[in-house]
Amino acid sequence: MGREMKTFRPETLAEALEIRAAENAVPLAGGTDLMVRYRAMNGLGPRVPGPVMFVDGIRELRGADMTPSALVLGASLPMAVIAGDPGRRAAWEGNLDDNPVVEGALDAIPGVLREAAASVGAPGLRNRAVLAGNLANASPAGDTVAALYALDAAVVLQSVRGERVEPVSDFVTGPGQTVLRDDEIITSVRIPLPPVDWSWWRKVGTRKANALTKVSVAAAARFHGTQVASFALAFGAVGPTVIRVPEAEALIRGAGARIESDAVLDIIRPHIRPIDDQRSTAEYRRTVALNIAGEALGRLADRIKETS
Amino acid sequence: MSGSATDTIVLTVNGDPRILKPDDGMRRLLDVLRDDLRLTGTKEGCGEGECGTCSVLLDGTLVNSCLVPVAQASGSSVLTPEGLAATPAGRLLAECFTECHGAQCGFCTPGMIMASYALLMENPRPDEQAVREAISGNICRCTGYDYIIDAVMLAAERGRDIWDAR
Repeated sequence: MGREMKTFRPETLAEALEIRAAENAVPLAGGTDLMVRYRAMNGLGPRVPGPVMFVDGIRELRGADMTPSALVLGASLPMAVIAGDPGRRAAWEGNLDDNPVVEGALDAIPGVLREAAASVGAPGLRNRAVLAGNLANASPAGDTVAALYALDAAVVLQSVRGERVEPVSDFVTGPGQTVLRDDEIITSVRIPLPPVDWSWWRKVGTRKANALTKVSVAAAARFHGTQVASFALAFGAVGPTVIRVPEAEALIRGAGARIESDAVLDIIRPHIRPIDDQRSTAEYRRTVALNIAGEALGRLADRIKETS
Repeated sequence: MSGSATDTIVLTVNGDPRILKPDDGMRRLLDVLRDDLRLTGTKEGCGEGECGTCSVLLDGTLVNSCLVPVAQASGSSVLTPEGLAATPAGRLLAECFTECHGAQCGFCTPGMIMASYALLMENPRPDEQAVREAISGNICRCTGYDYIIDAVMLAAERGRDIWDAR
């Protein structure tokens, strides 16, 4: 219990970036991944290799904003707030001096991201787990990660050297692997505007709560009249990262109400390369991924028919 | 260095201020509650945020205390099962769990009651689905959940004065 562990709890981003650069301290927001990963024996507390920087108190990371081209979600927004939990959201927005949440920004969160966040863990976990943590953990099964792939989101990284913006598909490079540098922290996520017109989320797990994803599909589309102007279909837990299949998405664009689901799924099939693990089997994942992709395409076709 | 958490950790537990050494920052809130403060109503089940037996309220929000480094509770208020039990809401929930046979072995019960309290403070008229969702992070291996859900519905009904006055 006497083991000393260096910890920091900055209140401003500038301070945090200095600490990150000087100490390479591990950023810890909600702790829902890190406290489990570094768990030691009961009663001893986690053994994190190196200093820890708590980022939960940093005002700049707690907000939400809208620019002409993007919805900007702060890195520390908890899953419960993203999911639209009324009590949590009211509490979060209630203290506006402390939380720079721009009016309407939380309402602009696309359905697919809202639903993905709502499908993470259980209430107590969603109250702590934050958006940036799901990204930094870089699991191919990360629920909000799959939604962010479908939304063409970008990750904003800051360090004392400056800021860079990486598309989420470039940010994540493999299971647990990202391009985050030792002196950088994730400060926000940018979701392009205008918003998508339609989106869809489906997660399959062992049970509804506290179950890691066996396979998931996130879909999003924009319409131009009855034509599909843009379309994205992201698959979780079927490869080393969340995956998209651009050739299949291209078939949908401009397809109008006639979506040839079978042809699209044929193109997708060889790209679905899941593994057997403790949660599921490769064969189950492949079958279910294609089934729920088919369901997504069906819903999209229904939506196009409604509008035409 | 400024902004460091190597300041004294001060948190309020069930209304009482508690002071911890800065070196304790990464200790789990769960261990501080159980080992230092002897508040053993908060249980350790899985230690990984999966089972909900360590549920407490942190500034009114339900959290798994096994996943909270105590430094993050500095400046905040913690409500544990002991603190809740001393209030009319806590007594009512305990009474309803008893009446409805919502506790068997009892290990999950403190966490279940914390999650139920968090629900009723936010939504005083929950339907069954809302109750199931609210306790979805709390695992019970005895009751099959139905009796627990009955207990929460009864507490909602019987405690209207309490929940409406929240």
